[in-house]
Amino acid sequence: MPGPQQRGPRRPLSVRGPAPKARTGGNSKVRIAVGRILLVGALVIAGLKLVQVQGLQADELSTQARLQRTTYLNIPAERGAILDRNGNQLAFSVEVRALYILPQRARKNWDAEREKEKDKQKKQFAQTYDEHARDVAKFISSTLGPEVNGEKTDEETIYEQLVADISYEVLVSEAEPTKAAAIVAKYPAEIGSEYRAKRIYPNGQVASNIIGAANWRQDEKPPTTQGILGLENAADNVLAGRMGRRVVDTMSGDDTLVIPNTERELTKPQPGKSLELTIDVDTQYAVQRMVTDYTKKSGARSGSAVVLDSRSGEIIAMANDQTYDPTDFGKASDAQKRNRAVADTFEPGSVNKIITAAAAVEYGLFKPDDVLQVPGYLKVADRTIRDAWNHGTVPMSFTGVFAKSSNVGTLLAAQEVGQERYAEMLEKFGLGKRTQSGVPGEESGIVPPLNQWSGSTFGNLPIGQGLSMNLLQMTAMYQTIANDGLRVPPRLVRAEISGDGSRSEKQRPEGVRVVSPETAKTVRSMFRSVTQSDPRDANQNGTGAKAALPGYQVAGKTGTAQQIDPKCKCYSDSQYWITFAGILPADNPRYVVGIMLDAPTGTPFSSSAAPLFHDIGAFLTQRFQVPLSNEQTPYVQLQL
Amino acid sequence: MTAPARVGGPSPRDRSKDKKTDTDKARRRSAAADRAYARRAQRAQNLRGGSSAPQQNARQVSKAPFVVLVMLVLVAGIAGIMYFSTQAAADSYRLQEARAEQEKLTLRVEQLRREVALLESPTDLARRATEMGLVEPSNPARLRQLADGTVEEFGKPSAPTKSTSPPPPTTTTPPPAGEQPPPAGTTPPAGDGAANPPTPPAGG
Repeated sequence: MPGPQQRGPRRPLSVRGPAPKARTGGNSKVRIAVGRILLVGALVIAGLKLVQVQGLQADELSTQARLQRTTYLNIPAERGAILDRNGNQLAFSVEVRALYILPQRARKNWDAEREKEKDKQKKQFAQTYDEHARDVAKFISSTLGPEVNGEKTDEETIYEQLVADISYEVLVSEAEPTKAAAIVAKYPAEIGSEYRAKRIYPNGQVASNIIGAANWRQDEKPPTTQGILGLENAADNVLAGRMGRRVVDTMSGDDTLVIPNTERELTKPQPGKSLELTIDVDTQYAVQRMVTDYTKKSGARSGSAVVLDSRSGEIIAMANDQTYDPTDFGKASDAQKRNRAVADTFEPGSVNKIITAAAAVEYGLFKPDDVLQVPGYLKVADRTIRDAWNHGTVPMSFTGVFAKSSNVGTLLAAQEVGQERYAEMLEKFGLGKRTQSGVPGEESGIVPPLNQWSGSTFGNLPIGQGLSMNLLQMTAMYQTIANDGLRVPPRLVRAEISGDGSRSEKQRPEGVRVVSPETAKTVRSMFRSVTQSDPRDANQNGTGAKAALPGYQVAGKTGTAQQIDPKCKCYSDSQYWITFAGILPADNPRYVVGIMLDAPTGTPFSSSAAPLFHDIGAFLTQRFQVPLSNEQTPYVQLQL
Repeated sequence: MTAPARVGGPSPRDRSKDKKTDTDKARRRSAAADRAYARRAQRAQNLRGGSSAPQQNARQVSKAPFVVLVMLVLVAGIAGIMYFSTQAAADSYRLQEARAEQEKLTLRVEQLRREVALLESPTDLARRATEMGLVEPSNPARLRQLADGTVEEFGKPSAPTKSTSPPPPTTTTPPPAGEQPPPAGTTPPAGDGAANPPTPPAGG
């Protein structure tokens, strides 16, 4: 124990042992204080930073971290198909893979690997890159075959691409996924594959004016199949569906290097809905072929035909003579892409006389067997209207006026109807307005409103000049008469079918009552005589005898309208719109057919579209097994 | 307590004070010592096996089976975990394989669907029918059996003399030569039309 002299007077009593020797009182106190301040200060700073990072900047920083770490991947949604009324596929999508290569990088990697493995005598890298590329090309070519959808995939072509001095090259854009997977599995360092969808049109040019075309757009963000033409374009929102989204964590700086087990699905892809059309693909094919043939035969610039279901207004077929291949629509001309049946409007000619007939019967002005004294010509304002054949005043039955397509007789009847009632009837038949059928690219046509009529207008409209309509509108007019006076707006899309197979029927458009069922029946009966032929007396021949279909009653009307000569801005005497509209069978209507030929010239088939109606009718009766009419069309005296 | 609290000698100047402190300290020390002694006695008693000793012995007897039980449970648990995790891993491999298989089959279905759609398209059917030499009857006659058993015939069947035209619009294939009408746009010679004079325009 140290002596008492060495202790300071104020040392506390201690039993634990000697005190440290080198303590110099005041200094240690300062040191402790400073240390304490420093430590507390550091703690406070750390605490503040903690609050800042965790509290104030938390969102911003975690967002930054996520951006650095996570990568969003799109999960493509399958595009819906387009089906016909029986579920046959008109358009659908399949998965394909694009195979690509980064030639410069592949070569660099290969050379680097080769340098590294040189001393190890590894066989794998004994070849030069060019030799290796030869092997790769051989394998790809043998897997894919010499050609994939027009892209050459023979060994030489692939080899050229592999050794080219470029940074990026697509070898094949539409390879089958299984084959692509085999190639990528064998050469993962060289070949990459990428999802793509391919739109398939199994029927080629059939109905392509309606369906349109869609293809893969690599330049879209994100790349996807996009409808470019026709229904594919108009219904793109329904067909496309919604892309799904997947999140993965990736290495910083390399979005392709996915950290395993970090994948998570944010939103499931929603496959697009399929559209079920009212088209029957077999009928469409047959009608399209017949229209193409007949247009050619008649020397017309173009020709179209529409077949409607008379009760539901569904479009069974809509064909134009010119179509295109939807898989190669880039080569199609504008004329080929145009759906003339709805996009072209024309003056219907005598086909329009059915409105006069319907109005006259509806208002009780004429009965089918009433006799009219029809003069050779009629003056309406400044115009003189004549019939297509020269005659003096002849007695004709009211039926005969339409069966023989007398302009003068029709105008006499129209004058009885009167302008107001006639204009009202035009509107009821849906003219001058789009049909809302769902066929893309429809034009409305022009009907002059009553207050703009000039003196001669009422001499033109009843005989189908001075107003325009598209072929669908014209056919719909006859659908009204076929459906007992109830006009059902035509339609193209019958139902939407979602990805899980559930089907939602499109609401049927509401019918518009145009004339009474009795009137419609009478008019139908009258118009049967258009197809009447009498070998003994040419005066009793209807204008559309060639449309007759033995065994069936056919009601219809021929039409010939003068086109407007662009040179003189007057009606041409050489260019006509040749039209026909018919109801089959007339006693129990099932189908309505409308035909339009644009300026046919120079052949025996140029003057009438009735033979084409006959052909289409013959096909329809066989295709849909239409029962024969109970009675044949009775003979009617047309001219007395 | 053997250590003196304050060993410094008392100052001669302050004797009276010192004496007082001495007596104070003597009294306090004895109290602290009393407590210390009491504690020590307590500890000694505990070491010698105080009141709680017999109970502890009884517990030691029953400890071994319990420990074994716990060990068994642990081993069983670990074995179970290992088994299930191996199983899960194996399952996940199987799942992966099944997924790959499903993917493959989906693609196959898609491919078959595509082939069927292409084969059943009317364009393709017509082409194959033409290849087989089939023609379409242009104008069939229709028969109806009447109530008395006789058959009524409507229309005259015309033999499909001219071959039906090729499937339309394959723009690449030229129409077969032969019975085809002159191509569109060409005006036939005047004599051609004379055989079947065009009827006058219907009207309008």
